[in-house]
Amino acid sequence: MIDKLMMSLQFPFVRYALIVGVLIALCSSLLGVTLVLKRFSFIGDGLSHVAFGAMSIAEVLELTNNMLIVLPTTILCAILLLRSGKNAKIKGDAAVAMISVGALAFGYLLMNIFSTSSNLTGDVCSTLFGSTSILTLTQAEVWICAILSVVVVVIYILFYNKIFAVTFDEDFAKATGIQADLYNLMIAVVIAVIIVLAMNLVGSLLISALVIFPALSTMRIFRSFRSVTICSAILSVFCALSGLVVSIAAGTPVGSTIVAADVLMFFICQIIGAVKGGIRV
Amino acid sequence: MRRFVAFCIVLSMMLTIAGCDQPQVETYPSMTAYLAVPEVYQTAVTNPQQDQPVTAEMAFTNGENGIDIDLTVLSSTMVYSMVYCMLTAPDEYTGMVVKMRGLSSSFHDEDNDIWYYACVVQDATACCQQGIEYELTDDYACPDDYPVDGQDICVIGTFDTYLDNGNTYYVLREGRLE
Repeated sequence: MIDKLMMSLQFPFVRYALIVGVLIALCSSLLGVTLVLKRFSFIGDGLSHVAFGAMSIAEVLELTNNMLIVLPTTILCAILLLRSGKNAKIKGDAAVAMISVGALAFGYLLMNIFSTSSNLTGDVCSTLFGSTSILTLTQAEVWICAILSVVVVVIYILFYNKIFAVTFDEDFAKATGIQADLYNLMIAVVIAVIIVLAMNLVGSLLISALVIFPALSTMRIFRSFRSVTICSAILSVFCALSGLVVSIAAGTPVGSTIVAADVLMFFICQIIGAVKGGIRV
Repeated sequence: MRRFVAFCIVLSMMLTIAGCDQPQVETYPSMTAYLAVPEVYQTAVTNPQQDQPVTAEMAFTNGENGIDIDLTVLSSTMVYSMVYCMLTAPDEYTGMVVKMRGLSSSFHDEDNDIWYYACVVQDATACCQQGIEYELTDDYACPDDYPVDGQDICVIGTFDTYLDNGNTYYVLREGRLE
């Protein structure tokens, strides 16, 4: 199996997949901590379904670059969901569920009625589960993913303190003069970008795992926000790399294998946390 | 205020980058830089050392066991991805000897009485599949000596493309079954 893996690394599309996979895992884990603490763990699922619906529209319109529709649509929905706040008529989880299933059903309906592909089931399945999407990236797509990932990381580092403040106590942050609404908007936009990128890695249905599991795993062990964030990023990258390598060598679906690695890591962290009683940093 | 302006600039950059049109000619993952591709697989050029034009027959002895791309040693995930690359960037692989394993599938054009045979590969979840047409050598009688639909086959042939009614098709020529 080692020989097979080393041979696979000779293929450029394998190296592209590893690079993009690491970057996506890094970005998703950073914002995953914020989402979990703000009780918006399922936002990834909802936004990914919205992205799927937008992608369906782009496919029907036969756009060369479906990002023109997918990214703005996903960003708009992210803003609607995360900025609706306490005064929304339809609250958090209900809004996510409504938009999520509606977009998924609408997208699949559109693709069936206005099918432009001879293998509709395969295309839908591949988009939903991300079986080989990450291994069929073009150079242009790799560059786009890399640049957007770097921008996300830079934004997170620049605005780390503000993100920390609005994550834990939004009302207190507002009271101290922080423009919480603005930073919530920023978080919503960044999350939407990450979701669109992550669809290439694990598919629409499994994105939540990429966002949630690294944060939850590290919370079993660490207590401080900084420790959880850093360790979450490390674990997410490790699981993404492991999942990619195993799927390439063993011929398993990429998305499912990465999520399986995340789940396994969660149980390992759960055991470590139970044994050590947590490490206070 | 400065951070808000910086955020707006970054957001604009992100949307601009994401909205960039893909170039008309995609730079797809290429194998030529990573395989020892003999010059014979380019155009028929004169070998400066031998001062003789090289031919396709000499090519079979250049690769290991006469094969340049052996898909049978790869996992199903890799095979699907590799075939995808070959079909989206065929110029990079034209002329290469390919060995692949998959399921045989056939189609009979009754109007022209032509049989088309393809070797189909599936991804890991088996919900996506794609294939490459193959043409066996004259040693095989069509359709009697050709595999039946669904038969697991291993075919070796030279990758090539051809145009038919304005569509580009991909084929393994001078193929043999193993």
